[in-house]
Formats: sequence, structure tokens, C-alpha cells
Amino acid sequence: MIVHLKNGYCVDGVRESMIRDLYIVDGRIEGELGERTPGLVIDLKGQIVMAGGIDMHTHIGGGKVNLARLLLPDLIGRGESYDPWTQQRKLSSPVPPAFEIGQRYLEMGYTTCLEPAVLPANARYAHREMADIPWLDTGGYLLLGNDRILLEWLAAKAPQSQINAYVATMLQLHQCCGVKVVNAGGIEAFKFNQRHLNVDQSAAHYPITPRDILRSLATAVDEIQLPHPLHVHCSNLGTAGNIESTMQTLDAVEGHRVHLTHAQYHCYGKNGPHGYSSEAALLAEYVNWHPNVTIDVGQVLFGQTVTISGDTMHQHHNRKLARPRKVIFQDAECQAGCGVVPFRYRHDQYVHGLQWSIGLELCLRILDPTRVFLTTDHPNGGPFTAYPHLLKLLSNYDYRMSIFEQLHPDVRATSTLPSLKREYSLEEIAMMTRVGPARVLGLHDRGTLESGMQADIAVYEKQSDIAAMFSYPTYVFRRGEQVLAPALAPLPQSKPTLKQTIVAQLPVDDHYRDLIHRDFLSCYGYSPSFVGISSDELRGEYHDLVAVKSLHS
Amino acid sequence: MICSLCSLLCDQPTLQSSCTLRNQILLNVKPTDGDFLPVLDAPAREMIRTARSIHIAGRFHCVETSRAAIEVARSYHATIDGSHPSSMFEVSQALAGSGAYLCSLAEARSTSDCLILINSAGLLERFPQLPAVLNRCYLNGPTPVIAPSDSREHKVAPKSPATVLLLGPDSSGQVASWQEHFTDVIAHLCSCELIPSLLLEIEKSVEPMDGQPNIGGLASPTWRDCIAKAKYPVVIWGSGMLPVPAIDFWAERLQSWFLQWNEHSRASSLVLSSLANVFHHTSTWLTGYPSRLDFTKGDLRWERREASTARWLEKNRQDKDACLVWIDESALEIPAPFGSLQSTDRFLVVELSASKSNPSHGTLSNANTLVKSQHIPIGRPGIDYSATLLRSDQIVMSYPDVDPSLQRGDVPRAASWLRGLLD
Repeated sequence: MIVHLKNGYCVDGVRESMIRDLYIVDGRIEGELGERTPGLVIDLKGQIVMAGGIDMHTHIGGGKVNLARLLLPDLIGRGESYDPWTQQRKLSSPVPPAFEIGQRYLEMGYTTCLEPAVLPANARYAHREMADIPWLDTGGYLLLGNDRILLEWLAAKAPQSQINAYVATMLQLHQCCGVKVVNAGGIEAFKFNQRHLNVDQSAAHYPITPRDILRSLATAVDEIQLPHPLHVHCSNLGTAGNIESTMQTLDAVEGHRVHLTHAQYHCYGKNGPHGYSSEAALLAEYVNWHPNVTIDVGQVLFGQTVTISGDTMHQHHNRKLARPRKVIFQDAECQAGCGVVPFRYRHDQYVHGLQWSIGLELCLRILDPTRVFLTTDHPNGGPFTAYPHLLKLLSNYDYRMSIFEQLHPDVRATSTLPSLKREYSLEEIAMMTRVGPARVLGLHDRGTLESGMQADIAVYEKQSDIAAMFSYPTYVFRRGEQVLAPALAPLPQSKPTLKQTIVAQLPVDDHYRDLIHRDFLSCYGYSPSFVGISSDELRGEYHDLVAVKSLHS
Repeated sequence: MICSLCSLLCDQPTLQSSCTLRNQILLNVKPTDGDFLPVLDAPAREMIRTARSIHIAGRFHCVETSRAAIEVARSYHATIDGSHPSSMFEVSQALAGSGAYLCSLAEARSTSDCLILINSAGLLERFPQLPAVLNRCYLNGPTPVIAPSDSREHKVAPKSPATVLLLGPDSSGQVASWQEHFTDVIAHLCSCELIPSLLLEIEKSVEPMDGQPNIGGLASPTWRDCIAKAKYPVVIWGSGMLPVPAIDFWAERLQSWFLQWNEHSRASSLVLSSLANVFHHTSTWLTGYPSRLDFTKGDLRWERREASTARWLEKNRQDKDACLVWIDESALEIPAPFGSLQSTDRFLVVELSASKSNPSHGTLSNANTLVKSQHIPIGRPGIDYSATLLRSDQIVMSYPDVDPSLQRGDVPRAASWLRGLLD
């Protein structure tokens, strides 16, 4: 059935915003209908029409997420039903079950979400879990850079072509669409009891530095033409003065494309009253001048959450900050690890308040909203359900200041946030939450309302209160199917085409196949096929795949 | 091909051909095993549809069955407990209460210089190939071992440089099995219950401790020295393989050792689970809770005690309108799941089991009880059909194809049968 969306104010951040009619034909957007007759006409007068939101960094699947659930059943359904800071309905837990993730994202108009830390050995687990998240298209970034095969090869000065073949093979085997490196070499070093590793410091076990790993992986990602740049979680997360290693990290990739994730946690100086200060201005300036760099924010929110990260080295540093006081650490399969540390951010605590202001500073200082993305690194900084509140913070200076005034006095005394008067427009919000993430992921079929795009559409009632507006769309369409409508709970996911997984489709250099096979057996005790996921197997779960193709195909 | 008979999920022919468990099962495969009678499942479906109280339990071995069972429980307002044996649930609760330092199989094999096996006898009974799997030199050492039918192959296999410590009541009887793969094997006889306390007494040594006197007379200094000097000791144990009365308390005590040890050094725990542990994981991502779910009031409640199989039986044994749906996908004959039936029992049982000779079925057929039972034969995931299985370390999932040596033909899948109830 052809659907005619009439009189909606279309905002997609690419074309001029205006009242425009859209048509949904066979799951795609069309601007003209020609001789055809729509089967359904929906009058959207007074409504804002946007493409479906894309969360490019949210921990929604895989063993670490489930470990956090196992650790914290006592937090389920506890406390107020509304968050006092964001005014949003709380999730049932900082790490809600699969169904709730799908439902709550849909209820904000988000339709695509990416899991940023897929351990190779655990990739099937992550995909199986994400298959149970309804309505959303999902995908994952593969964790490399602490895997023993790669480290041994780098230590042995393997040629770049060999590294490239390995990266492409691993992406293909584990059906991921990006490569993420977490504390390059640091997770592995922690297994050998090294508790600190700087970008130019040699690791305890392998005579290589994080710089070697970053350079090699960034080069590989570019040379195999993976659309998503190397997704980097820098060294020294959360440490005072870590801006130094963050800048060294950016330098290490030698001009290759790089995405710096949860950047808020990586731009601290140590000049402040408590040994912590904001270096957001420095990082933002660097991003503004370097088009090869994108970031997501990793904004923190106040309240109870749980931090889950592959960075066992720094999670272990934080173990004594756990609230409730229990932690889980896992060293996983000579590839990486994970640490689960429950955490409570407090507005009256200096560092937490500083983190809150740094996240906003980054968004406000980086000029191009298609290169800075709104994330809370869910659940690490806070729940993804805070997005409407965050959008209001970015688009309303007075509201921002009303929260700022409640922070620790030393934050108020030192932060430059009050001087940043910028307010995000609807177009900039569309660029930050739709256009930019689609571009950086190589998802050319979504993110805007242009003709030919997949009909993932969110419609919001125009309101002066941005948080209220983005909290609940009036309509959501997934591939042209109306899955959320006024006064209706989200419809059950009935059609298989409403859910797909995003995978990279890249050519693999077979020259190194036997070598990879041999080293798999040596390192893990099984052959690549043991963990390899075929497209058919994945189709059985998701029914369909979205191929992210190489940059120039 | 991946062998799915136990949760080690070995994929190398060398490991499979030398596995005593696999070879024993292969010997017992009869040509008639593939001849299944047509499934008369209408009475079973009727029993479930008309039951007043429904409890779903058993050994769910794959993600697909776990998903379907939870969906049926939700739809039929039933309770569901996928934690059999219950020690799995108790261990997961203990870890949730106290936290944990864990590792995977490959990490233990490659990183550890000191493997500490608790109750090796129990582990080897369940996982005969564990020594080979933990030997980092075995599968791809300098001289690859290719002798699938040679029973002496272990004796010529390259040995791992890691030290193996066997702690438990009859540990000395296990030394030979471990020496096939490790040069240094030390056994220390002790009660499993005492092991956390013994570990907590050990202090990390920077200098070698050889020759120091025995502390408190509790243990020989040799095994203690090995741990004290190790760079990455890994304690290996299994939730269903420990003869300790309060396993939750035991696990909590053990974790307190890891918390202390990791303050200054590294150490980790490899907790081996059966294939049935996949239910905990699937249930957790689907509902937020690992098992023991109660849908009887329409919404989901987590009832750690009231939704357990033991509690349901206590309350419903004599109720002729109460129905237990028992799903057992295990390929191995493990002791009967819900104890001996009593002469006064009147509840209904719908049993979906993978093996015709499963002792649980025999128990249910006991003519001395009033239990009305219906048996539905089902396939074994990863053997009779492809399915998603979770390896014993609870990190790696695999999707084994059918096992041609053991496959029994077109046997119904538990998940398909369960989904039929939703139509």
C-alpha cells in the first residue's frame, strides 16, 4: 500500500526544511507519486517529519551486557518510575532486557542501533541477543587490537597486507560492520598484570606500543575500504590528564580516518581544583580542523547506572567506586576482556559534574554536527532514554544553565559552559542523530528523507519543549510499515523485513587464509569455522541483512 | 564438525577421536536408533492446554529451545525453571551477590601458568578431554598430533609448560590423566569445602618460597608455593561437579580470594557449565532474570524459590490438573531429573526428551504411581540438527551442524513443538 504523508514539516538536515509531502512506496520514500493513488493518507499538519534516529554507539547486546544483567537483578524496577533529571520514564534496569530496548528506542523514533564492542568469540552471542530486540536494525563493531594473533603479528613485523587480510577475514567471520579498538594493547597487558599503558609505552608481554596497534588498524580499515573509520576507545579512560594520550592517539593514526568514541571520558586535564579540568576546547578544536576525525560524546547523566567496558585495565582501577559494591571481570579468549562496575553519578560531586559539562561542551564547540554524535555510551554514561533531555540541553541555553546551576560550586566556578550560547536547531539535531551517523557508518539507504531512502520515519508533534517533543513520536514507520501511531502501543513486530542486521561486505584476500587458520587453532584451539557466522545463519535470525559495502564499490 | 556431546564443543578430529565419552556413545549407536514412531502429540498438547497449573522445566541445551520455552511460559501463564541441576542457579546467584573474576577456556590454556583443578574426578567424568583442551601445545604444538585412531596419541603429545594442581578428595587418582598433557602435576588431597579457606591463607610471594615450612599443617608447601609464584593462576571448577553442601556460600568465599589476589597480581576463575546453562543466558537477555520466572499472574515476576521445580512439585504433586512440561535435550544419561515419584503423585507430565532410554522417562512410566505422562521424542541440538549452543565457559557460542556419526534422522525439535503450542 502506498502511504501519503501530507503537510508535514520535513527536517532532514540535508535539504531545506519545509512543509513537503512524502510518499511511502514499497518501503521506500518517494517525493513524487505520478499516476499512482495512495491507499492511506495521513495529514501531518503541525508535525515534524524526520528520518529514523541512529544510535551509533550503545551497548545493547553480547556477553558483557548480559553479565551486567546477571550482576544486578536487584536494581530492576527499583526507585522512582520517572528520572528526576531527565523527566523520562525510567528503564526497568540500567541494562534492560531485549524487548524493552527495542520498545524504548522506537518510542523515541530511533530505528537503527549499533553495538560497539563485539568480542570475536562472543559475536554469535551478541547477534543472537540483538535478534531478540524488536523493530531495530542492529549491527556491531568487532573488538580488535588486544587479540593475541594480531599482537603477535605486529610484534613479528608482519606486512600490512597480512593485517588487512586478517581484519577483513575477522569482519566477515563475525558479521560486523566496524572495527573497534579499546585501550589498544592495554587489555592484554592487564592480563600480565600491567596496570598502566601509555600510547608510546611498550606492553609487558609484546614488544609493541599502542601507537603501533592504532596505526596498523587505522591503515587496515582504510585500505580494505571499510566505510566506518576505526572506532577508538583511547588509552587512560577517565584518568586526569588523559587529554595527552588522546592527542597522541589522534596523532598515531597518521591522518587515517578515525572515530573517537565516548570522547567526554578522554579529554581531561589536571589543572582543576580537584586535579581534574576540562580539555574539551582542545579536542573540539582538533576535530574542527581535522576532517578525518569524528566523535561521539558519551554524555553522563546523574543517577544509578552500570559501566560495562572491554577496558578491564581501567575498569579495575574503578572497582572501589562500585555502587553497589560488586564487580565482575572477565579475561576473554585471548582477544579482550570485560569489566562490569555499577556506578552512581552525582550532580554534587565535582568530577561527575565536570564530566556532564564536558559532554555538552564538546557538542557545542564542534562546529559540524555531522561529525559529533549524541550518545550516552549506554549504559556507561546513562540510559539512552535521556536523549530527548539531552537534545533540550543542547537546544535551550536557559534550560542548560538551570541544570548547570545545580552542580558542584567548583564546576560552576571553572567551566566555560556558560559562555557557550549556541543552541542546536532542529536541522542540527537531524544532522547529529541521523545524517551524520548514517554517513559515518556507510549506511547510504537511511538518515535523510530523500527519494529512494528506506522509509524509516519518525513524526513528532511540534512543541516548544524539545524534550517533550522527542520523548514520544506520533508516528514511526519502519520500512514503510506504521509501527507506532497515536494512542497505540507499539505494534508487535509482525513482518520479518522490519528487522535486519548491518554487516560489512568486503572482499577478503585469500592469500593468508591458511596462516589465519593455523593461528586460530594455535591461539584458540579451534578453527575459524567454529566461531564463523554464515550469512545464511544470520538470515535465519534476522531474516535479512543490510550490506555496508566498501567505500568505492 | 563440532562434537556436542559435552559443552567443551571440540571441533578438532584429534580431540574427538580420542574422547572416551564420544567413543563410548559411538559404540552404543544402534541402527534402529533412527526409527522413531510417529509422534502422537495431540494428547500431550491437550494436557497442557487444559492444565490448571503449568510448570516448564528441564535441560534446555540451545538458544532456540530456551526462547520457545519462555514464550510458551508467558503465553500459558506458567512458571519456568531452566536451572537443572539447581546448583547452576545457586552459583549464578552467588556470583551476582559477590562479583567475580572469570576467564574463558582459551585464556586459561594460553595465559595461565598454573591451573588449579577442583575435584578433577568430577570434571574428567563430565569433560574427558579437559586435559587435552587445556594443553596449549597439543593441537598446534611444534609437532602437530595427527593420530586419530591411535590410542597412545596422548602419550606422545607435546606437553604444556603450565603447572597443574589437583585439589580435592581423590585428586591423586587423577594425576596420570593430567600427566599425559602436563609435566608438572601436583595433587593435594583435601575436602573441596575447605578450598576457599586454603586459598585465602596463601599470600603472594615475590621471592621463591621453596623450602619454607608448612603453614598451620593444612597443606604441603609445594602446591601453595606454585600458586604464590604463579603469574596468572586459574581456578577451574564446575557448578554441577562439586561435592559441597552450600555451593553458593562456597562460590562466594572463593570469589573473595580473587578479589584479594587481583589487588596485587592476576588470577581468574574458569567456571565450567553444562550445555543447559544456555537457558540462564537466554532468559537473562529476554527477561532480565536468569531463570525461575513466574508468569502465572500475567506479568513477569522473578521468584527465586517459588518458581523452582522443587517448590512446584511440593505444591502440585497431588493435583491431577497440574502439568509439568519436562524438556530434556541432553544426549547423555544423567540421573533422573525430578526425583522418584511417589505413590500419591497425580500430576500430569509431558516429557520431551532426546533419548528414548532417558532414565527420567523410565521413572515416569512407573506403574505404581497415578502420574499420567506423555512422552514426545525430540532431537538433540547440535547432533540431530543445527542449533546455537553455549560452550562450557559461557562466552563462546557455536552453531554445530548435524553430527553424521550420531544423527538419528528427522526427529522433532523441541522449539518447533513448543511453538506449535502458540498457534
